[in-house]
Amino acid sequence: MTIFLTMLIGATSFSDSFELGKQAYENNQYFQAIEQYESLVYNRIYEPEVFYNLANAYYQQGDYALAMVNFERAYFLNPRLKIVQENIEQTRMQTKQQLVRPTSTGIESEFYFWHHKISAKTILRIAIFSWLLFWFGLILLKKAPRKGLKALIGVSGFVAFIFFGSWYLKTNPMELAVAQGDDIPVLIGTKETDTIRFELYSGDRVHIDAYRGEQVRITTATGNRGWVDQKYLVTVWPPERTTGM
Amino acid sequence: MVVIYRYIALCLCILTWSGWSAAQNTPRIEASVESTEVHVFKPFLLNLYYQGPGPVEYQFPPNVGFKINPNPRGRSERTSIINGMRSLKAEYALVVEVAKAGEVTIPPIKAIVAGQTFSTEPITLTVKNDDPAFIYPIHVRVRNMIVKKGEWFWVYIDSPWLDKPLPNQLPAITGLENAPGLPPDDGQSSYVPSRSRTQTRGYRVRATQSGTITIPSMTFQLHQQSVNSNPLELKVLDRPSTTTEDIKGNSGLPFVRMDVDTRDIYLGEPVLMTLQLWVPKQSPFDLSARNRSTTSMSSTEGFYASDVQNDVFEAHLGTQAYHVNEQRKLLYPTKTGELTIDAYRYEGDIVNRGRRNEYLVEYGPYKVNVKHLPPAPNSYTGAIGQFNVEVDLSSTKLKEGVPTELIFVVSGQGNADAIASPKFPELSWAHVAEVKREQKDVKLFGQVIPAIEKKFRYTITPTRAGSHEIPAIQYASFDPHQGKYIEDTFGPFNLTVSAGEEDSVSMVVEDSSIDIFQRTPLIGTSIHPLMTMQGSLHRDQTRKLWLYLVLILPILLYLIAVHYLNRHARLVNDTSFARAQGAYEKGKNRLKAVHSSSEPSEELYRTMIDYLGDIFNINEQGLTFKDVEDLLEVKQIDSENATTITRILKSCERSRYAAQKLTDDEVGALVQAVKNVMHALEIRGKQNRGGK
Repeated sequence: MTIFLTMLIGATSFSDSFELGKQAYENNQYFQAIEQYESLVYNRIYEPEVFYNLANAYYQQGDYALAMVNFERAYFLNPRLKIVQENIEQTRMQTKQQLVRPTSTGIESEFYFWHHKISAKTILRIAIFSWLLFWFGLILLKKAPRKGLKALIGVSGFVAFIFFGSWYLKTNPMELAVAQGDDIPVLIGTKETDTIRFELYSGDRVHIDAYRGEQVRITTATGNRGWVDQKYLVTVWPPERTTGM
Repeated sequence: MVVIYRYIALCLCILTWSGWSAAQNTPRIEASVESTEVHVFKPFLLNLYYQGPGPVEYQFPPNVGFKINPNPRGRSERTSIINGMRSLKAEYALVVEVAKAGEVTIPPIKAIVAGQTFSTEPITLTVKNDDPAFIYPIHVRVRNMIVKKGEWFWVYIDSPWLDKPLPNQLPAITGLENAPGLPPDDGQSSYVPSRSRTQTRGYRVRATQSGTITIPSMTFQLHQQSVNSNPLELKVLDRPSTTTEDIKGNSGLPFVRMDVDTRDIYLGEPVLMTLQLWVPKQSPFDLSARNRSTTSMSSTEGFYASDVQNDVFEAHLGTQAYHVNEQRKLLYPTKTGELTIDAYRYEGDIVNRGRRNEYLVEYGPYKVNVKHLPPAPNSYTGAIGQFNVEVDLSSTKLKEGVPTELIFVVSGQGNADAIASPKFPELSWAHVAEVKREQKDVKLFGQVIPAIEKKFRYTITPTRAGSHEIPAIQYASFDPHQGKYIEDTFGPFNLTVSAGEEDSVSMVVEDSSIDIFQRTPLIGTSIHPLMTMQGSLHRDQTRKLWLYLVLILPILLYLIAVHYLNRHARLVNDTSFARAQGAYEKGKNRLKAVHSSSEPSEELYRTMIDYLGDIFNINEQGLTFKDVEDLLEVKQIDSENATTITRILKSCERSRYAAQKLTDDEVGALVQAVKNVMHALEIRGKQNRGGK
């Protein structure tokens, strides 16, 4: 009962924060809107609506890097939301280099190319349904073997395996990060004295390949690769790391 | 007959193949351009295609009025052997520039194959002269259009493909003095690595008079055509020079140089800092052993630094040639008062006759005085520098509910990041969406410091038909060279708004930008409005707990179901198991009825015998006391329990034949004894069944 009441009160206060943020935004008080939505994120309210609204507030403040980060988080949670995709495009147009999102590599691009437009939630639902069907089928098989039951078990087990894999990749995506700041030097190596290979600008999205101390190796959508100090990047997921890593 | 037909078909195939192969090897050369409309001096690609036998030699027409670069930017060559004949397929992308406007014809390009000549068709181009970036193919530039009297600075000339090399000194220009003591051959020439075909030569000069000096347009020969350089107007201030000493060579050792273009600035006005590292190309010392060589950047605390394009070039001082690495930064002061730009240092090891010596050289520091801006007019929004402001209204005839744009363009050199949007007046007859900003760097001829172009876009959606006015808009910027604010006024703008259709009128709701976005999504650079939350908000972690339960639960259910089904199947199929399973419960229930029985000893006896029959799966009918003793021995029941059982059975049997019945206490004691034995045998049985 106590747990239920705590959850109920918590949900109400979260909804209040959401509404307060919305009101502040509509009154052009973007800073206050950001405060409300950031407090929700701090309390682990990971809903696409929260990240989307937070991103809008950052956008209106002219902070295109954090706007991009939060739009990407909303997209990550629900890739089918068209307005999120369009706002990402709009934010991209505001960035200096207008770089597109780096594409996924490895197993994701080879086998899971189909899952980008499906949300993690939907994938998890399909995986769980198949999982339950698989075990239920096994029980039925034990009780009274019927024709076609083995095929059903095989298919549901395979689907569960594939979709749990998809869900895992969705919830542990390639590390996408967004550059925060302009003229960020991306070096040829990890030493400060190394030659600058190219530069990143606020709102540029990069894929993190490797870590070495404070430096990370990044790849852009254009295939440019180099080492950059972690302090210039904000990772898209998980959202706890809001300001640098 | 069939054989003859097959033979004819085979011959036809061979003939067709041979004909096709021969056709493949007939030389063919073609030239094409993407568009026949080109611009003077603006490079474009000419695609050259050749197919036929190799090897082939190409002959390009003489460059008169145009230039074809014979080194292709892109190439694709494929050699194949068909029917024993070597065939070449090649495609080349050649860079072409045209030097004059009007109609220009590129004559045929020839391919010479085994003594025979094959040609392309001539290409006639319409050459325009309206692209400002290519009107002057020779660019004259300086780092800063504003210089100080008496201070040395560089004038650079960038030129592509000149027929003759650039002059060693600038021609005599009123108000400009070429660097004395530098013989013509010592003029500096530099090469931009990324643009290998562009030559840059620097000329060291200084202004001898204040005011305005014009470097006139100069004429050069390019592709046998006379071409002009851009004229360049410099503003010369009569201020003391900031540079304290001139460049001096230093005995074949590396040295650094540092310079700032001004030491007295206003808050927000940039200082151009130039850092140069001069490394001799040849030296009596071993400079290659500089394993610890470093340059330390000047500390610029109190400034916000922004990089300007860096240069690497060669220069001569006297007879010594140097590699010069030049870095430039724009420093924007963030506070007033006297700020210090620290010295620029070079540290390294120099090996002289096998001895390694530490070497340190530095230049600077500089002190810069930063002044407060004078009191600003109301229309001032932070622009400091030299700016040109324009306003562009897309239309003065509007339709109710249909948005139009007013664009405010601020361009020039200055503190781009700090320029805010102009103050836009309130309009009672229209909704004005939030201003959208765009900014881009603009490369201007003759200037190293980048210029910017900042656009402020106002989307105006009329809500009422009629004649309306956008009141005058004022915009002020601070010109640090003049030390005062420059204020411009734009408008007022008179507009006519016609009544819109019903649908479009209902699109606009006054004072609600959200409604506008909802009904007219993505106007200009706007984004979609906020989303509303469906349902309540919950912490993310609960989802994981639920997930783990969902994952584990079916496995547990499966295990339980398997256990149940196996047991059920055994109960059905295995009589011994089924009897043993129910024996204990059955026995306990029967013991409850012993006290109420008319013959408790008989009932007790039967209960014990039936129980033993159940657990050992034997027919209990006719089982005698002796049979039980044998059975217990066969089944290896421990002696204590076996003795107890035989005693119980003996007691019951004696009582059955005795005249006096058992008392209640005796019955109770026997029941308890039977219970204990049954319990012990049940535990033993479970252990045995579990072990099976």
